[in-house]
Amino acid sequence: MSDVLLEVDDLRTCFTLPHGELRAVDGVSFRLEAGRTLGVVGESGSGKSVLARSIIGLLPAGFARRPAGRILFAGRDLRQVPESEMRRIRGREIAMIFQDPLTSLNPVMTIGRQIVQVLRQHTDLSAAQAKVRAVELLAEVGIPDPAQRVQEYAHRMSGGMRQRVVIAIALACNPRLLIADEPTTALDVTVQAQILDLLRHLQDRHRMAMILITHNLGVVAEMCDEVAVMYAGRMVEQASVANILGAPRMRYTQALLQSVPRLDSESHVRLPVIPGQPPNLIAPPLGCRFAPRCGHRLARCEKEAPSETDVGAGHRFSCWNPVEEAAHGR
Amino acid sequence: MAGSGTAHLQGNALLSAAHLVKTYKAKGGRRVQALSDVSLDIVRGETLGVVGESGSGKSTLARAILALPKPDAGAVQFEEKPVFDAKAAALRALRHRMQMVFQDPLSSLNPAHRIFDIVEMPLLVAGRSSASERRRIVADTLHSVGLDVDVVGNRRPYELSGGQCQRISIARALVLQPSLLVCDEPVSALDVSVQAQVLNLLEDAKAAFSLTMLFISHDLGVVKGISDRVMVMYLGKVCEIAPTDSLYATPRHPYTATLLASVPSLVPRRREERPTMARGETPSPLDVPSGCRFRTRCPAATERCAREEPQIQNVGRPGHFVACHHPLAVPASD
Repeated sequence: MSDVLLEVDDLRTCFTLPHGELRAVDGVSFRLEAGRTLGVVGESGSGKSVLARSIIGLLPAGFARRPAGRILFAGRDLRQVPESEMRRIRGREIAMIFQDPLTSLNPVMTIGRQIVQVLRQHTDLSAAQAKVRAVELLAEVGIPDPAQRVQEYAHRMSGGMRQRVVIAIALACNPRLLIADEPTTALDVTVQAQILDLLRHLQDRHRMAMILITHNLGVVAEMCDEVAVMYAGRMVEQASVANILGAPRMRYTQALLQSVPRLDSESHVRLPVIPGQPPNLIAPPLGCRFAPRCGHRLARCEKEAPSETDVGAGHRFSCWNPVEEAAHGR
Repeated sequence: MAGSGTAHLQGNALLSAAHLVKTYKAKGGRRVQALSDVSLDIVRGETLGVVGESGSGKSTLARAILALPKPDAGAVQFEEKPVFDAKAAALRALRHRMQMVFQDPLSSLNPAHRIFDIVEMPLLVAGRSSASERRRIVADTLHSVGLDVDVVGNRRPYELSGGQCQRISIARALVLQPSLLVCDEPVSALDVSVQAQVLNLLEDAKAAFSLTMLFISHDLGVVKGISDRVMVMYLGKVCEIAPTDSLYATPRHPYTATLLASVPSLVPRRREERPTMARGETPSPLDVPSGCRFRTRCPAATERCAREEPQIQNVGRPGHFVACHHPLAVPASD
C-alpha cells in the first residue's frame, strides 16, 4: 500500500455550543489511494461534511476546536501545517466542490476571471497564458463555446453549466485529491448523470483521488470504489462498493439500503423503516449509537460501544450483532 | 412531449382537469408558460404520480387544480362540481375536501403556533364542532400519523424534527377528512430513513381516510412505490401517462426512457452498459422549442417534431398514452 495518498487516523472534531460540546466527527479512520474514489454516505447530521471540512481545514471559525487525530496527506500531517502553507495546498493539491454551484461562484466576476485568479495564485502562468488555459479548462469540462463563455457571469448559466464551471475551477491546478460534497444533489437527474460522467472521465484522466460525499446510494454505486458509512459522527462500516451494497454487515447499513425506494421494487409495498431519529450528539447514547433504533439490538449494544471487526479485504464494521455472512448467500 | 389532447381521460373521475394553462409574466414583458394545455383525471381511490424535472410545471399543476391561484384557462371538476366557477364560500367548502401537503415541512407550519393549534385550525376555519369535539378530533388525527397529542400538542414546530413536522402537515391536511390529498414533493426534504416512514404513513392514511391522491415528486423511485398511474411532464406539457408498471417496464416516450436511465442504480453498472441519453439540459421556458418541446434533446427527433406538436395517443397497452411522433418500440421479448 505504498500508493496511499490520504490516511486519516482517529479524527475527532468538536463544536463548542452554548449547551455543551457537540462531537460531530468522533474517531474516524480511513485510507485513500491515488486514483481511487471513496464514497462517504450518511444522513443529515452524520458528520460527513464536517469530516470533509476537517480534512481541508475549512471549519467555521469560533465554533470548532482544532480537530484531534492525524490527517496524513502525501506523508504530511495537515493538522501541523501552518495556515499559509495550507492555503497553498488548498486549490493546488486538494480541491473541494460543494453542493450549490451558485453560491460557490462569485456573482460579480466573470467565470473566466475566477479561473484565472486560481491559476495565477497557484501556478507560474502569466496573465495571458492563464486566460488561454481558462478557455481550455472550460472546454475540458464540456462547456460549449468556451471562448465566449469565459466572459459570462454565473447567473447567466444553468445549474449544470455552473457545476461544470465549479469543477473546472477545482481541477485548474490538477489536484491530487478532490473532495466533492453532494456535487449533484441540487441538479436534475438527467443533468446529474452528465456531471457524474464528467467527474469519472476527468478522474481517469488525471488519476486523481476523490472523496465523494453523498446521501444518495445510487450515486455511490455508480461512482465509488470503496464506501464508508457514517452514523452519528462515527464510521460504522467500510468496505468495497460491492460489499457495502451487496453484503453489508452493520445493521444500520442494511437498514439504510432497505429503506431506499428503488426503480425495480414493486408498487404499494411497505418500505422497511428505521424507527425514530438519529441521536443528539451532545449526549450520544452510551453504547452503539444506532442501538436505540436498531431492530437487532442486544443488551450489550446499549451498554458498550462496539469494537471494530475486520473481516479482511478492507471490510470493517462496528456491530455486536452483525448480519450473518451466510445471509448474503456467500 | 409537448403533447396536448385529452385522449387519456377516463371519465367518471373524482377530479378531472382539462386544458389547464398558466402563464407567468417575466422581465421585459416576456411570458413563461409554466403549464401549457395539461389535462388529467384521477378516479376515486387512485394515486396519480406526477414526475418531471425543474421547470416541468408539476408544482404549478398542483396549485392550479386547487385554484391557488386559478390558471389562465381550463377547467377543473371535483366531485362533479366546477372548481373555478365556484363563489368564494363554495370554493372554501370545496377546498375542505381537497387538501395539500408541501415540500418543506418547517416553512409550511407557523413557527409561533402550538402543534395542537396548527392541527385544529382547519376545524375552526370550517366552523366545525364544539371545543371538546375538536380536541378529540385533533388527538385522533395526530394518533393516526403516529404522534401523541399529550407529547407534541403544546410544542412548536422548531422543537420537532423534519419528519415529525411532515407528520403534522399531513395531520393538518387530514383533519377535515378530505377526499383528495395533493402532495407536492412531500418527502424530498427528508432523509431516506425518515422518508420511508412518511411514505408508509401516506399509504396508511390513504386506506384509513379513503383518499384519492395526486403525488408530485422528482424522485422516480418514490413515485413508483406509491402510484397506480404515473404522468411524466416536460416544460409544461404531458409526455406520457400510463399505469405504473407499464410506464417503468416499457417507457414509450424518449424523455421517460432518458429519465429512467439517468437514475443511478444501486447495482453497480459498467459504463458501457449505460444507454445513450438525451443531450444537454432543459431549454429556458421563456423560449420553448416549436413542435415537440423535447425535440432539442431527443435522439429520435425529426423535422416533423419541429413542425408539429404531437397529440396524446394510446399506444398498445390499455391506459398507456404517449405524446410523441416516434414512440419507442416495445422490446420484442415483451
